[in-house]
Amino acid sequence: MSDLREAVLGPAPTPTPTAALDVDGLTVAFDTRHGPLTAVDGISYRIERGRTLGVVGESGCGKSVAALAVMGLIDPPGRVSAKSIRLHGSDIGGLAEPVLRALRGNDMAMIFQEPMTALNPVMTVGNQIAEVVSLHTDNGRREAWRRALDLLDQVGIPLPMRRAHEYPHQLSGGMRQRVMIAMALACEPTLLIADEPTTALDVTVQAQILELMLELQEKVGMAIQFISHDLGVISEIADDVMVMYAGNIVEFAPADEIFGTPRHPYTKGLLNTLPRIGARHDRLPAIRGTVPDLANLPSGCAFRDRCPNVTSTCAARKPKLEEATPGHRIACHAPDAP
Amino acid sequence: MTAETQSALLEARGVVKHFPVSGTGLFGRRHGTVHAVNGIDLSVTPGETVALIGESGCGKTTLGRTLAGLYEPTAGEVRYRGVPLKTATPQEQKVARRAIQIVFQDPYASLNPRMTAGAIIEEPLRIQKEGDRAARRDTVSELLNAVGLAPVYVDRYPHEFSGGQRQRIGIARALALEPELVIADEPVSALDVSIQSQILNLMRDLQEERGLAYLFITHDLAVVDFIADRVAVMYLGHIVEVAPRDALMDAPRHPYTQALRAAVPQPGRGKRERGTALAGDVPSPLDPPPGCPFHTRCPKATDMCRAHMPSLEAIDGTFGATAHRVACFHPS
Repeated sequence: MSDLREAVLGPAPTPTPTAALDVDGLTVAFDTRHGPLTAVDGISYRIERGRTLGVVGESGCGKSVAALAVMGLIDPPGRVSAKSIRLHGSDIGGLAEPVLRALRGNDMAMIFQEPMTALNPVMTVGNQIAEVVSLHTDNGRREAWRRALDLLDQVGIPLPMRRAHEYPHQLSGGMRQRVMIAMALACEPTLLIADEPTTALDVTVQAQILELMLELQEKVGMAIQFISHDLGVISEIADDVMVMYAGNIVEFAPADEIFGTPRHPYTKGLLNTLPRIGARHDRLPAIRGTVPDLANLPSGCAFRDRCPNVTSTCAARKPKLEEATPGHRIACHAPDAP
Repeated sequence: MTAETQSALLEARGVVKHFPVSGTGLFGRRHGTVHAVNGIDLSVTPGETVALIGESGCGKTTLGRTLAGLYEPTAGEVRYRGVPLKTATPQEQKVARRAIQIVFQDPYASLNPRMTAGAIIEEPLRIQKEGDRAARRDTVSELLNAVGLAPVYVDRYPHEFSGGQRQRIGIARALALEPELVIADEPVSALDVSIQSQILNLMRDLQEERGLAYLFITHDLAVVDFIADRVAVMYLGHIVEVAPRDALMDAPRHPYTQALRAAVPQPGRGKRERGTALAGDVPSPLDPPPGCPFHTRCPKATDMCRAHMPSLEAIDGTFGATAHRVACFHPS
């Protein structure tokens, strides 16, 4: 298997102690008719090489916006600021667009929920992958095409020689997502950001794609930032989990701790409220209220209106994300006991 | 069968729904038939929740709409309290239409943006010429209250509501004519996790208060586990397995149900075990395979499966409306 990997993706990168991604104080704000709106509020996190960070939260929590900001894909009037965004040690925050464009595809790549909108509908999938390869390497056309076929094979597309000549609309949703993954991995990125990559897929196909991503990560060793609203999916793929709410990280811990001993009342609420096979509840333990409007957040902790543990401190001061036990960070004035 | 017919609120007998496809493609005219629903027998009894589960293209939405009377079946019949809808008198048809209401998946698309919440909920009453204006207004406030919306919301427009609130309005509209059966097509799929559970709890409360029956269409097996009394699993236009909830979830017999069950990600179970995913894609309903519709992906498929279509048979001496039925030559 490692021979195949070498042939397809080149020699393995040398391991280093630096994190694949190290984000410090990332803020993203948008100007709206109702005034400035902070979609991501000074978050800091890191992903080690070869590991997967699951990012979970409900709509508007900032999970996608944060990822787009790391990729340098937030356009004005959106404003991105950060102390640093380090990709494999080097700061990429504030780099000019041409430099970022060279990094995207080479060192970091992103896949999206709906591959149909990310693929060119009038170009064969083989040509689209070959284009990525030739843009980022000095490979000639024939070399790039051969590489495209290898990549299609790698991502489990049957009969790659034939499929390479097909257009995106001729492929199923699962096959299109495989093509997207092939393009993203064409240049062995250090970091792969996957934003709800299985949400539009059927559950049996979702299982195939999750298996594929785990397998490719094992071979290639890239770090993955995997964004999903689905705690089940996050559980199946992530080493560490970051829970977001209203633009902030509220809890960050190894996956087994998030699912085994969640400390933040929001994380706990999300896990309890999920319908589960075999639970046979009469009623689902609900989280009261609704996801807050970012333009109209409560003072202090954004979750306090919905929180069962709320105290007077929660309205007065916004809780900081602090390490409660080694590797387990919580932003809460009244967390649950471990 | 007669006992079932008498007690069923709504019953599908051999329901088939095909859609002709014709269009000018890039390279000339294409013709074909989408075999959306291919001979379904299914019944819902009063107060019961039947979940219809399957992946995209399995025909669950088409079946739901056919049962709701939004589509005319290509073959077979739909019966309301034993009366075939096709041959029912106009009066009987009117009663059936009121008794069966529908809630749609997308609360953003299914509410008229130019109507207030009050007008949306009142519309079915107005169309059916129920009471005078004052009486209808009273019913609307009672319905708003029933779905957990404050009275002040009556004059607001859909864009002023969140997704969960919109779905509450959709449910209130469906309840306006005091139906016996609500056909809910993916009613919580577009909602955030924390809102989804609120709506599921609401639907269960309304069922208890009003004795409603639900035909709950979904792709989410965990939701089925919470809401359903009985479950029917669809694949490519066929029911492949139908059973009471516990039997179907805890001891599925059809290889497809088993694969579906195994594919559902469960939080806290740890990383996905490699090599457990079902291979392949669902075949196109434009060109369904011969024999068992699942044979192209089935690990147990034999020549028999490739040539013949298994019928839905009761197993383990189960019988009647709550029998465990499987359409498979090699059930577990």
